[in-house]
Amino acid sequence: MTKKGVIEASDAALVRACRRGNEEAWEALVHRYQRFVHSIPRRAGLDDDAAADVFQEVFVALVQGLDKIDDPDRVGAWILTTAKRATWRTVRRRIAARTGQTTLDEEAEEVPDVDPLPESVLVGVEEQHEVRTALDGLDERCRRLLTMLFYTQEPPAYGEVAAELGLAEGSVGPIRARCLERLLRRLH
Amino acid sequence: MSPAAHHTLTEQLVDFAEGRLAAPQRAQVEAHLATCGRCARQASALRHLIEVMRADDSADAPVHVVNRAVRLFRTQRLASAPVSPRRRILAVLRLDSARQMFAPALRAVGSGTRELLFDIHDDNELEVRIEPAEGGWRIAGQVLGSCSGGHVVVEGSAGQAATDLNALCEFSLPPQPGAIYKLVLQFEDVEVEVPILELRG
Repeated sequence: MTKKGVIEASDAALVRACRRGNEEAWEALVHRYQRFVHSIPRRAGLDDDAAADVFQEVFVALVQGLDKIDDPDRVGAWILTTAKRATWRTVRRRIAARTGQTTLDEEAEEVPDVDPLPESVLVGVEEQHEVRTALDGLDERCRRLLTMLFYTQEPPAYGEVAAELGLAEGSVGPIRARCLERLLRRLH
Repeated sequence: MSPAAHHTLTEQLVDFAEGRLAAPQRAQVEAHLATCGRCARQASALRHLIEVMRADDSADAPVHVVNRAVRLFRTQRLASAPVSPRRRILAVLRLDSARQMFAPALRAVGSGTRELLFDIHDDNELEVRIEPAEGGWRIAGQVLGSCSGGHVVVEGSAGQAATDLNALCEFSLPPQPGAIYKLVLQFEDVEVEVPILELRG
């Protein structure tokens, strides 16, 4: 699989390539999902160290479970579930440590009393992942332009965007519209 | 509305979804959306897409955390699962102490012990000793040559057993009842088979 190939490959194609021992496909899969997996424990309020532990746990489970995933197209859902459970376990461990509880069922999979990851949060994280993955599949100009306009806290004025990307100021608006349309098409 | 008008509207729809339109133009677009399901769906999809991007304050995982996960493939997968199926080859018997004519070539072994020597892959040799033990037969041996570990399995109608090669590439299997067995040595990229190994007095 070429560099461009792995970026454009579907999740299922990457999983299948990993099963055949393709290390580049694994690297692409990790990069595709790194932000997503990192976001889940962070959204639950865990700090960077705990998030890093959850991250490692998820990818260890993935590398060991590559052959067991029934539907490679749904690897995203598999990763989400695994990350959610690992986060719950960590949150429970922290609560137990705080309350001085000594026994803890490590394998329990039920939701902690106060769900640190309500469904609405997870849906948001999933949507953001899908949009960013679709964005990665666009050409560089669209990627940079949409990132500048929609992923920055204080979006720059069209004049600044034009200067940065070497465009005429008047073309930023129309190009932006075309890039958004393309992004939307990739999402459906 | 004609396709050309629709095309003009695309940019306007994006401006609308982004909230960039002044009131009169906004009213114009809203009036169009009320009559055009396709544009209304597109406008709502665009608005949602923009909302998702604007609300996204997620961060990349730290680089060292990502790199550690990337390395997992090499340590967990390439190390344990060979990419291509192993070659399977048959061991070629060169010496057997049970056959008297080769006896002078073998070093002295204790009574009742049978010693066999096989040629295996890459100019390696496999030495196998079969000796009576606990009412059955113990199969032990050693791979001589360039060997960096492996797994040994013995299988027969009377049972099976397995063990790993030690640091000297020696192995010793638990005693098995007398029967006909197959002995398989699994190395990283090749399996060596001794198809028939008869254990009897």
